Amino acid sequence: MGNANPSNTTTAIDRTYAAALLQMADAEGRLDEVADEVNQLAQLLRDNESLHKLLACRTLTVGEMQSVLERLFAGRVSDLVYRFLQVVNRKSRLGELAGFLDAFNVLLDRKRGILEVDLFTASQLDRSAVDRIAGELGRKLSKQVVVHQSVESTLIGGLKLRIGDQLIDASVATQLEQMKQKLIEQGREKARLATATG
Amino acid sequence: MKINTDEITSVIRQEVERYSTQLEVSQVGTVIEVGDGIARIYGLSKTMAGEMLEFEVGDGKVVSGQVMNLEQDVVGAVIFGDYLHIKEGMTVRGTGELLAVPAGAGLLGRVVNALGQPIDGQGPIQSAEHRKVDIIAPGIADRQPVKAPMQTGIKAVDSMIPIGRGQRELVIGDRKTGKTAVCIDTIINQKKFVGTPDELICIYVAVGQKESTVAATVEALRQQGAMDYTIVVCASASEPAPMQYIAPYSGCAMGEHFMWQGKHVLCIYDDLSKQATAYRQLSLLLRRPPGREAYPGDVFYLHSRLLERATKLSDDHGGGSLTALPVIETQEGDVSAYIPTNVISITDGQIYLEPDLFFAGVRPAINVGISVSRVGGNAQIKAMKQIAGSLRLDLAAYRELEAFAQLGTELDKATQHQLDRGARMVELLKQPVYEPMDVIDQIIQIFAGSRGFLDDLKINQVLPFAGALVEHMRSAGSSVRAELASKRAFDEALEAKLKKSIADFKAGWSAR
Repeated sequence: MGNANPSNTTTAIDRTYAAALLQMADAEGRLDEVADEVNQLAQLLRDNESLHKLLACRTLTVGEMQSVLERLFAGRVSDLVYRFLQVVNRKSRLGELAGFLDAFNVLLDRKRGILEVDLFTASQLDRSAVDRIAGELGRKLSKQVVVHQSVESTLIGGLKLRIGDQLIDASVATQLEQMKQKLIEQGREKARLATATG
Repeated sequence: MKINTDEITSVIRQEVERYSTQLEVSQVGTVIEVGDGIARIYGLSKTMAGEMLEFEVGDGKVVSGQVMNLEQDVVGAVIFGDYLHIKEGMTVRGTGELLAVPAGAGLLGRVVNALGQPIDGQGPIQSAEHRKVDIIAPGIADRQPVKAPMQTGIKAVDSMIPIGRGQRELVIGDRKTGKTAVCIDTIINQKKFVGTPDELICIYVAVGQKESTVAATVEALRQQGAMDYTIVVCASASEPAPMQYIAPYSGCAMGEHFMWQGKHVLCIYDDLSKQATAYRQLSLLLRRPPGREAYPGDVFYLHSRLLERATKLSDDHGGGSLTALPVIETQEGDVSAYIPTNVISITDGQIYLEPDLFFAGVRPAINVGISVSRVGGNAQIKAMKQIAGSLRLDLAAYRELEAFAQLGTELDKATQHQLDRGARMVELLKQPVYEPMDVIDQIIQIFAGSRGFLDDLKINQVLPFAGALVEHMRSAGSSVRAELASKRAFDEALEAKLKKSIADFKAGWSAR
């Protein structure tokens, strides 16, 4: 449903593996390089369904997969990422690699103070308006905000923001719905009082 | 209702004026798995156990749900209503509130579902108040012992298995043994107390029954004029398991509203075996570990926390009461299955209904030998207590000797007399459905039986005689009846008067 935020389905295991990689990359002072490789790897997995299938394949033994990884990645990625892949393989969790990489990005964003926010509006906003919203939000939350915009015409007007688990709703549709509920409630209350007294 | 456009305009104007300041902030999550009335949701990290959720299914429609499991990354929730419209990836909103149902006098005479929404086609419920469905039962200091009787109008129950207000009495038996009939009779019997301090508000919770059965029950209650003080909560067999699971709690919450106003309430849960089955279904779907008979570990707590809410409140709290009549259906008379033993141990006694008795024509098919009431004795009126003892002895002796009688052996006179007396007493306790009897009339009939006035009648004459006797005591013998009704206990003089009155009537009746 218009979710640009990758943090939506990371599990505890994803975060554990990602945190390990992040800490090691940080310790070696090669955070940017590793992040770049992680993004490329994630892109590769997204683009190549067959690669994902191969990695998730359970008929290959850990030993066989080890040589597959060697042929695929040895020398092409940094030593740290290569070793990370081999460890993931040894734990038979290569099928969940995509989740680890997503979680890595989430943790990296958090470390860098970047916050991803979903913005829902009734019509497409131009770049400057989105930047203004991002700037304003960033100032309020003292974070660097990255806004993913999506259009939901049912909102009628106003906007809806989703920051992690929180939904801030300032859309016209919701206001109208609330007004409708209020009118119905007032009508019911009146009818009740009328029947009680009459 | 008149629609006042000015008012609407003023409300809209107020809303528009406040528009810029109003922001709705809520917790959200995303559905990652859904099926069979259960959803697993990612997100909602600050949600609480039991919180109500709203699934936005599109077109502005929402389906409600409730948080059941709080796990490391996901929340397990049950869905109240149509789960077929919920799809993976949908947004779920936490409401920050616990489940509540409407409560109050506006519900009387209505048929509602487990969420308190009307399903009888008679328009919205006129009630301003809501009560939380799942609360902790009142503590020791808030209660007092059971002391007032809850008259069922059934001779066998009111005499030997008396139920007090605030008691929990289990009605247990196989299918088609008349469990529901006992409950419905009890509701109908409350009609004469309407408007008196003894008034009893009845709540009938139908769980997992056929819609046609519930419709027939509602119709029977309506025809008997019993719907005026009754609320029917229906979670039929076609409704999702979560609705069947919460229906008894909803009914109980509606009853508690009246109880805390100092009124008396009767809650009938028909039946808790089906509720346990529904709970087992959703527990297994939520991947809670199965235990005995695949029920989850907390199935005892499921029933104990419901039945603990039946109570007699202390006078400081208005002295209201909530009596519970849970119903359990056994399979082939097996009371040692998991759920029956659980509920037997929670309740203050049980009424056993047996198919053998039912088909032998003893209806209500109550086995008075093994049915008990642990606290109701304190609540029984004194006159009934005085005669119930001999009734119990007569029936016990009869059951012991019954086997001999079937052998066709020559019996001594005393034994034959015991058998005759017992057979007549069994006959006397038979009662048609929907015909509950006033407790004074019951006392007169049982008195006549235990003092030997029925011994020389043919068995098939017992019930006609007893019926006519009650009529007689209401007309010609009304002074004696009035004295009994006001004293509510026998002394020697009253006993002699009643004996004479019955003897006079019998002389005239036999001659006919």
